[in-house]
Amino acid sequence: MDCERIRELLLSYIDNEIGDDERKLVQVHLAGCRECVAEIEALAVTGSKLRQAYETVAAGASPSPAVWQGIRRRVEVKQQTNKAAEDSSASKWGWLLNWRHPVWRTAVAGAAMLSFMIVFAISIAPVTLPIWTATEQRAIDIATNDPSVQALLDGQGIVYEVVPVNGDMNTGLYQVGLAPAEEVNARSYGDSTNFDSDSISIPEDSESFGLSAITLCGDLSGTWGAAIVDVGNNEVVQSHSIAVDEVGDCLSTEQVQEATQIVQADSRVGTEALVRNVSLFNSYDAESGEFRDEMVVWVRLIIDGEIYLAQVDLDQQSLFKLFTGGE
Amino acid sequence: MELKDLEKIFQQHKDTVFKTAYLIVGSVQEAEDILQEVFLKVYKSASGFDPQKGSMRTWLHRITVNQCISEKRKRRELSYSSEEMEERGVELADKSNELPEDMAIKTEEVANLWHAIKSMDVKQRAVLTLRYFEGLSYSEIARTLDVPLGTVKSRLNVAIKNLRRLMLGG
Repeated sequence: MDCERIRELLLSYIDNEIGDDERKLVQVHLAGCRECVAEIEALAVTGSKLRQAYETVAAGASPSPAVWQGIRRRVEVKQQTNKAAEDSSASKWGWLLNWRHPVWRTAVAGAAMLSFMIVFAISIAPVTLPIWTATEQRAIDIATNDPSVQALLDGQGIVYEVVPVNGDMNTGLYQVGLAPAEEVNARSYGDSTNFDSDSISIPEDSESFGLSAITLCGDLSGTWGAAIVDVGNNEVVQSHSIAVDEVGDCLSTEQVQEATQIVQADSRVGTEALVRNVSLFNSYDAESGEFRDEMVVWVRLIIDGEIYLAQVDLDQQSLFKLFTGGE
Repeated sequence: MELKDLEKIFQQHKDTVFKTAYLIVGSVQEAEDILQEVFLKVYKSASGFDPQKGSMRTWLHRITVNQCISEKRKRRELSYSSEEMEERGVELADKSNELPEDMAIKTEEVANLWHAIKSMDVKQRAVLTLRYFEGLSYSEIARTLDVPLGTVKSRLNVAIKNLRRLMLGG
């Protein structure tokens, strides 16, 4: 048998994953071929180095405790949603209007929030759920615990978005967007992570409702912030605030609903997709300090457990860009 | 499945799943996301686990590898481009291509090998991890990946060949 054929068997031979007949063939060949003996020795060395490299690399890697917290949160939301669906008998979305239901009970942080959540429930279906990935949650934790970020909004603010910088998750760089607490609480639908300088922990109530279809409407004046977080190095690499004194011509409830319908009508998305965040795209021009007229919105989606980002042109009534990645 | 049951399984297997994912995808953040997704899948499809067909470990390996492959396909998703970030008034920090976790690897030879592994196709990395880190037999790998035994053999051969080529700088 020639060397080429034998060499295809050498790895199986070393690993003792070869039949008796082929084993004999290899042994006979090796007895008379110095090149193949050298080859099998090289393969053995490669295997040994590979095991050593894996052991070394894996020894220094361990998951953050935040991973289990993220799983627990998502399972609890799922259980609540399932329970809500079971309890709903009047109509498919009847439970959405029942604020006494566990889904809403856990979501209600206070009477002030109740009003907008009911509006949300009526205007947008299906309900959105709070789903941060483990990395996004880590980016939030790093940002909200950093003194420079806390100082941006005088220690008060809401995380309204977390996006990987530069379209590349592998760099571990995420932008955490911060909005003035009073603006988002008062004017948008759902909030995510409140933080303040006295109590940095994430409030359970706000977390259980989580980020949903945030639309930043009306008077946006105040100090907004953005932090670039290096998740791998556990640090904030840059943070800055943006003073906004505009009354923005922003998204209305109807526009959020419209954007939701447009993306869900797209065959790549479907009606089962969860809408997580609807916000204006390029709404604020940092250079001129003005809001732009175009009605293009970002819609963040969860499709079958995966996160997607769609750009929707409300004027054209079209989803013109869906970041599905990879292909 | 109750949450406490899921937590028990998570605590038992989290390190194995995380390390396997990390060695396949090469990024701590990505591996944590995969760890989360794997156990959410376990929660959703607990009834899909049949002890007669294989161990919990094999089942978890299968979900993990599939999730790694799926994640790699979708990694370009959902983000802003640098231009878009600039339009949003964000200055991007200058970053080296080296991942933070790489910096902890002191041994040059190990670092070189790890660098070479990470440049390989995700399916090849999966088969190498299952064989040389997890120590699975060829038939166990075949069951995990749901491929014929011959495919495991050829994939391992190609992967080792590629690895040696990369190590030689070819």
